[in-house]
Amino acid sequence: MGTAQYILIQKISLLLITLFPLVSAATTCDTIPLKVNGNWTDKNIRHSEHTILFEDTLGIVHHISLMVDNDNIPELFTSHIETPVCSDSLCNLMNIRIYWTLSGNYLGFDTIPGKPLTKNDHLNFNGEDFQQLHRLLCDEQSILRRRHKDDLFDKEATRVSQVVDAVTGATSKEVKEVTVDGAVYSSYTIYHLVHSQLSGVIKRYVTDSLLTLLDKRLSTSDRVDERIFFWQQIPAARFPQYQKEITETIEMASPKDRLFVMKKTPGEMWANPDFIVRIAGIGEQLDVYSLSHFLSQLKSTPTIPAACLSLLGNQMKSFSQNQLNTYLSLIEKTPASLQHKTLLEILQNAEADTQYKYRTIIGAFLKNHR
Amino acid sequence: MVTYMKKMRLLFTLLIALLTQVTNAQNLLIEAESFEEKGGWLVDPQFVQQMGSPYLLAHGLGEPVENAYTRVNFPETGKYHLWVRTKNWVPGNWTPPGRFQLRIQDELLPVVYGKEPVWSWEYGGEVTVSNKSQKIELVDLTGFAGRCDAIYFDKKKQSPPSDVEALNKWRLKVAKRPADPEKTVQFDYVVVGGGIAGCASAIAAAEQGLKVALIHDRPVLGGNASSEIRVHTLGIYGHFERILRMLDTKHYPNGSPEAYAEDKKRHRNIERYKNIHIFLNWRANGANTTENTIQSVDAANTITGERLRFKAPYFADCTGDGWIGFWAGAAYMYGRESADQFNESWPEFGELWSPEVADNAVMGASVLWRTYSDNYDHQFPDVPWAMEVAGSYAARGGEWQWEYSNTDVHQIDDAEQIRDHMFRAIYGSFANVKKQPNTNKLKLEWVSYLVGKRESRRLVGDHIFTFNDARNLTQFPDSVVMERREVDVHYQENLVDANRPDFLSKAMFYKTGKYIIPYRSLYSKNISNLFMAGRCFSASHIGLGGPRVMLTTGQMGAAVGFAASVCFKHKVQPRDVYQKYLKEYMELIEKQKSYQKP
Ligand SMILES: Cc1cc2nc3c(=O)[nH]c(=O)nc-3n(C[C@H](O)[C@H](O)[C@H](O)COP(=O)(O)OP(=O)(O)OC[C@H]3O[C@@H](n4cnc5c(N)ncnc54)[C@H](O)[C@@H]3O)c2cc1C
Repeated sequence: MGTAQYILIQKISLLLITLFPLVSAATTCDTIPLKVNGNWTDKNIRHSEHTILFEDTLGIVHHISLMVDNDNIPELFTSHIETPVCSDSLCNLMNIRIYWTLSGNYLGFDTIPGKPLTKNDHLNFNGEDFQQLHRLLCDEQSILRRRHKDDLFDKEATRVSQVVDAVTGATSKEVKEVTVDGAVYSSYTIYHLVHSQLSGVIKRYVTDSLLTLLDKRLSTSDRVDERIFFWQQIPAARFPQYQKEITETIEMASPKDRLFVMKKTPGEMWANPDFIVRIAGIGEQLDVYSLSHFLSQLKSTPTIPAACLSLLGNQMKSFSQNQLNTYLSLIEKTPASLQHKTLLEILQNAEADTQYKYRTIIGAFLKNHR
Repeated sequence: MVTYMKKMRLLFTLLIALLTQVTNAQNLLIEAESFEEKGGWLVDPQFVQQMGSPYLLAHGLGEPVENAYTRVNFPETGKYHLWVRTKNWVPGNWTPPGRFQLRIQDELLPVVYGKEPVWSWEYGGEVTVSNKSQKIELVDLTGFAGRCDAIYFDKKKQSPPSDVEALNKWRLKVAKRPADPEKTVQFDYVVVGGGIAGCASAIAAAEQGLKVALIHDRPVLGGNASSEIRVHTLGIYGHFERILRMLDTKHYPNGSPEAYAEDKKRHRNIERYKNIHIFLNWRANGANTTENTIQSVDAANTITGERLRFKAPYFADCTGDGWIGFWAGAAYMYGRESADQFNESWPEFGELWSPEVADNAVMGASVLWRTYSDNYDHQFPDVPWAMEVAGSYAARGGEWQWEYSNTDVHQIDDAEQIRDHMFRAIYGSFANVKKQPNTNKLKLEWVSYLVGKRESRRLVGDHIFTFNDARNLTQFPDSVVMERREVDVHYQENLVDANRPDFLSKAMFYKTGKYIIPYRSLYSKNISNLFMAGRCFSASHIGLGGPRVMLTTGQMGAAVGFAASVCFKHKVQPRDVYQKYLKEYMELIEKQKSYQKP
């Protein structure tokens, strides 16, 4: 890599580190700065002896290596990808280093010294292009996922250029929005490699060869995708061993993953007062999907502790009408809870609060149960 | 064709006069939907099963609608207590958006209605009636979805019941009506729901000589394809191109007013069939079933309240929501099955596609809307009550992605809440656009007030059509419906990114070849004389993904219409067609390609 280019990359890295506050020191491979990554580690890491060899649909063999920290604990996977990017008639080689988490999720990318990422007419990627590529790779559900390569461009207008990404018609509007300007085929090719083929290989490798060793590492990970991956792999019957980690995951996860974990959590845990009080305690962080799930789950909990109902009661004003109805039915099925001073006060205050939209519902409830 | 509405218009006019007011010596109940003149208010019967009655909706897109009025005869003059059944559809720290008042004779009463967060009888105080004959008017104050179900006057200060079940009984009592419909009508085949599936079914059976009743709760046929919802028809015609071309639409953008022309075409075509008796504005409300056989279906007119009992040997549930099956006790499914149940996982989309553990999530409902640029400036009022939903999202129209679903709402039980949530999304997003530069001429053109549904109950047949039938292109001896469309299933954007608005969805597509839906997915496994066609056919959640579009559901309708004719001819049940008369049936289906109507 030439010095000028190196300095440029350093600058871009700095810029990106500022833009992505979660990024800590980019310490991958000594001098090579990590271009962008969403959740980088500040631990020292190195290549381990574990390498996965994988032949993709084009017949290219990829070497994916596991990186470990000083204590030999697996940290991530990485691969230097060299792949042809082809249009109908032209091919160009693309070199890029990709990092994946232990669950096979995209973590970040880097350039390869001396082999910059290029777009139309040999222009190098600039800072915005790096960010755009990162955004694209971070989006698991990008529209590229379901696009066929032939549908990336509007077929009519054709413009000619020397390099692959310019050889066809205008990029369709939605594709343009998510890909790197002037590097549509590169974006497409790398997206599919990263997300479909290689990600699947890593997942399989971890499941088949590492899972039993990574119990602690995955269940307590700072990366939510690794935790979710772990909960996906183990049977629900083992969940009770991980009560604390599961509660933490529920706090950390996206609505989709949160709902997944809560649905998989077995009935025995929903009957455990400690667990439900904990979940009620983080109720404010729950989204509509998981809060509704939690409330309906409690319907089959034999005895709901008054503390759980009080904690939920504190959030009552943000409940939807259905959630409120379910909540009141939970109180109803636990009549003793109405003797609980805190809970009663919460209900009485809600009834008295003229700003509260469902105060009449609470009023009617209290009247029925006086 | 005998259009009951036309033939009995005179009778109805008399009935309306009668039913508008139900009087006893001490009280008077007025159903809002039977007002003589509706002005700008619309009859909304979508939520009868949840809140008890059709109601009037002031759907003025932010401009107060013209008054609705009716004339009533009080049993006697004097003082009455007054209640209005209504609801504040967006409770919160703002002035309720759906406010309205009453005018009696020429006096505007001071009480403003639309304050309570649930359907209830809001008390209007005491009024003095000096003449027995009075004109009563509904005066809309906002144009933002005020709603009135009924008005009740009573000499005693005793409000009617609020619980829906008790209220239904009370209504019958006040109206001095028996529990069952007073009149029974007999048909060979009763189709409930006049979407593309229902219409196609009625045509197919009628062409085979059956006397068909088509019961539909709207004033126009077409369901989601009608001008009231405006979704264009997708899919292929299969064996039934001739029939489906009478009912389909051009491929215009969803929401386009071109849908009006397609309504006309559809009506013109279906009204040609003399043996299809179309009951428009009739909503079915029960299925009387003995020993797993439906004896009759009850329905009520959504405007007059008149009730009929429909007897027939065969019934088709084309309601989309599987109502007939539900009332009859048919097995049904709702929600997403676990990936293992039918082996439907697709790692590409994981949990979003098919979850490890089953849940009650389904594809959501939409309310489509449009704006236009006028020659004049237009203001749009502040809508603080909408912003909690819209946030800073700004938009000039809503296509299919405007979709609402989550684990808190049920697509049938909470349909009114879903529609109202979409109203908030629409009005809030439009208000946000109006705050942008160069939007002064922008105006709302059309906002549907009907919930356009994609998925709810699916009745269970002898075969459950799944993702595997589509991806493996399973062949069936009873192959009556075919489709080439991708399996397309939606998820809410905010499931993946909590910061996205909760009313937008994304689609996942699985490309397939031409797949087949067998006849056995089109009749109930446990109700002996019930067919189903449309999105309530027998499919898994993912199985529904491809064939829920309206040419495919139309094919289903036609297929069961023909099956009904085979049943009728041999006096057998739907299952027997597969077991004993499959050859004859398949020949009839095959013949459709070349069939010329006599
Ligand atoms: C926004 C949106 C976009 C879509 N996009 C497309 C598209 O582009 N192309 C496409 O083909 N499909 C599309 N679909 C899917 C398709 O419109 C639905 O799956 C449709 O419901 C299938 O038709 P159907 O005949 O089964 O039901 P519907 O069209 O829903 O018809 C059923 C009818 O029965 C009536 N009914 C219900 N209950 C009763 C009762 N008790 N008594 C009397 N009548 C009753 C209802 O009023 C309704 O009109 C879309 C759906 C939505 C919501």
